[in-house]
Amino acid sequence: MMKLIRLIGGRTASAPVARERLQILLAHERGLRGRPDLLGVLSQPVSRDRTRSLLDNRRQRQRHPLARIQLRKSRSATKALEIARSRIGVARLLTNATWPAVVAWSSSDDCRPVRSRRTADVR
Amino acid sequence: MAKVLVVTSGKGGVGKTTSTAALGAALAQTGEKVVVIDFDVGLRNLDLVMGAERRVVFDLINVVQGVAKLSQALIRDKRLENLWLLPASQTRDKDALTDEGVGNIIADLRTKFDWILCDSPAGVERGALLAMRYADEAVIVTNPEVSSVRDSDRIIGMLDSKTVKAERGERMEKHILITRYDLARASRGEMLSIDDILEILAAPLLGIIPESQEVLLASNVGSPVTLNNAVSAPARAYTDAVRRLMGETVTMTVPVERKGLMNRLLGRRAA
Repeated sequence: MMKLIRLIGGRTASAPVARERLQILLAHERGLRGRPDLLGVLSQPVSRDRTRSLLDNRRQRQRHPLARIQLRKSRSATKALEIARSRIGVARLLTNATWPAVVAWSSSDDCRPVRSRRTADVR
Repeated sequence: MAKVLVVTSGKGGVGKTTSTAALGAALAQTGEKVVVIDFDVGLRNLDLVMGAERRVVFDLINVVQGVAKLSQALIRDKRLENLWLLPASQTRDKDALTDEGVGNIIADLRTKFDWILCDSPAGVERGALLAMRYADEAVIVTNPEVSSVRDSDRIIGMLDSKTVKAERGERMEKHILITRYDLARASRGEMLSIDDILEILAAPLLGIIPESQEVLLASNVGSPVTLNNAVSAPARAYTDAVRRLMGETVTMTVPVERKGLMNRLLGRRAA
């Protein structure tokens, strides 16, 4: 019903945009303040997001609520992580890092390498 | 044992002073002995919201500088005998507030009151830092809006690093109070949701104060909203928040206005 009203009124929900912008901005600012907890954000349990994805009407999230990333934790150690799609903005910030760094990503079970460090597309 | 609570936010205009007055009055209504302190030197307003603006003789800086005793500066609320106000100075330089002076006042107030509520000024300058410096717990007031959430995140970082508790290696307990929440706009996706805010700020929710004209009506007449109209939606939300502060488990809801037939017909009432 809300979608129909929005369609007629020509308005789109802006809250998801606000959320995405805030997540990226705060991930950056926390790092500048000496709270580099991007890794912590990525590693948070995803169960809440699984529940949310069931409630979320957007088809994209229902189909692929999670993304899989390969994280380089140190010079030698890597770790596979399942993250919520809502945290992709944070993951994107780590594609240009030395370590911890996101070195591969996928929205399904396989995990492909990040194509280019500068233009890594994690969508 | 007295508890020192700082009401802070970073961003201005989100409802810190309104919330301090409402929470202070609601705590006092439960029988607790409460003092609310205005730390906004140069731009004090807590006296106005509490309806005590004509009774201010001495202020916080007078006490810090030894010009007046604490008992001379404290103003007792006329409606609630266990609610007191320590106003800020309207004219003096905020640099007159010293760490040691504020520490001594808080230590003195701890022996006299059950709750000490510090109303922080906006920003991250001296007044805001001193308001949070001796706090045991923090209430972070935020609106469902990007700039407010961003500034709240910054304040959380400061609470974890610049307070006496942080210096001792102790954990500062933080509570998020969401104000000016519009349920209809949030459900249309035009406003950050409660879940979004809590996930970003990673702190527990103390309460959700709905957007309401009752808040403006109360400040117009110089009365905390919890005293002015105890059955209004924001008053009920603040009362629930106080019960949570006192350790009760209260189901989280967004109270809605109960409009009578006359109110529906006339639309609104004047203060």
